[in-house]
Amino acid sequence: MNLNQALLLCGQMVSLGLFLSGVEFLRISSKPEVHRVWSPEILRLEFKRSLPAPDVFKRWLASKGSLRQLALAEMILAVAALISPSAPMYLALFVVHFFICLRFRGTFNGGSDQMFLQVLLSLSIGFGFYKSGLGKWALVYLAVQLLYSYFKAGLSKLKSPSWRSGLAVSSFLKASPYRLELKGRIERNTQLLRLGSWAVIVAEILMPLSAFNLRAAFLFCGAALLFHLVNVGLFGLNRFFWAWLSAWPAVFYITTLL
Amino acid sequence: MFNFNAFLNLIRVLFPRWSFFDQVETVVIVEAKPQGGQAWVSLSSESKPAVGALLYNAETNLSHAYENILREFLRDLQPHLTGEASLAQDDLDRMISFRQVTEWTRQRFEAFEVSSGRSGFLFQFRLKSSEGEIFFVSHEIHSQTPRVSDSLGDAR
Repeated sequence: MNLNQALLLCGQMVSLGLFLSGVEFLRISSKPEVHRVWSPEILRLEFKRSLPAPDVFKRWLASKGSLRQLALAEMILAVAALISPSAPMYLALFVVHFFICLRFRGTFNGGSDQMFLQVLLSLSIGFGFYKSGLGKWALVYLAVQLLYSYFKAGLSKLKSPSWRSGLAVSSFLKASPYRLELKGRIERNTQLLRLGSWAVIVAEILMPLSAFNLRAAFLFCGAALLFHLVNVGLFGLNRFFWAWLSAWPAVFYITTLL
Repeated sequence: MFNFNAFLNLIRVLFPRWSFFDQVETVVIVEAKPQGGQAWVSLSSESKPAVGALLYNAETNLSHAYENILREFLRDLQPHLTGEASLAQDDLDRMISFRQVTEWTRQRFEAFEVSSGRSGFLFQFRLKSSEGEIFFVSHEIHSQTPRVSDSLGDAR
């Protein structure tokens, strides 16, 4: 995969992911309870102490209408970026998604917001400085962020006795927002918990090997897809799936450099 | 008054740390009871996974966002839970996370009121772990009061 192909594929995946995110935010912006928990009053208080920006911007961002406007902007820009990928498009998407995060006092879904912004930042630089050689380093940066995210998660799990025994998986299942019969069955099967836990730990720790070999990259990308799909099924983390998937072409690209 | 640490916290999404699993988080359960009531009612709810959740999962993602507010409130409460600081009304009023958690419990409790045919009374909420450890018990809060600045609570 060459630089151009990798940039285009990353761009298509992140555009799709952010279009879906925009649709979700549009639905969320229509819920009255959302505007009570993240009310203009609460947000004005937050922005007063933490956002060094003009008052007119802070008033707009704290308003009820801003979330709907930002959701629509994210959807339109995502479609535009899909049709015509370019640095200004991804930069605009970066700004809009960042404003949405500010609207939720920093982040909406944590890690997926962070990864979306990392992908958009890399694409803005990648497309903007394609000819100067900086584009290559933007994708290297993205691949490092992606592989490090798995490695760090794996290392943390390896250090934790509850992850090594599989008990942590049971705790995470209890925190799932879903009512699943499967949950109870998995929780009771200690062997399965330990096996699943170690499979995730080993895969995550070894994930950086993807950078050195195309076959390894395919293998680990497949494992990562499976892992993220299981997370969608058990925890509903669909945003993580799209955010992490959109960064994987950067890994395929760096296998050609090393 | 501008606070630089609050600013860094607001823009934390720009500095990825990938620390999802550094700690196994406790499952937090939110319960509430009306004034004079004896039984605590769980306000947490589970949903069925939706077909097509890979493409569209607004409700579940919103529930994850609410969960994050609960965790932020517990983090803000931590110095009071460990006895490093006392907890007064002013402390709670200053906690934006407390205001958000209160508003969330209020709307969940409103739904409970509708289902039980009651309206407009005081209630308390508490946060506890799935193992039964109680982290926080609020003082009485009006179920329909839009402002929360007169609310009180105790860290336990």
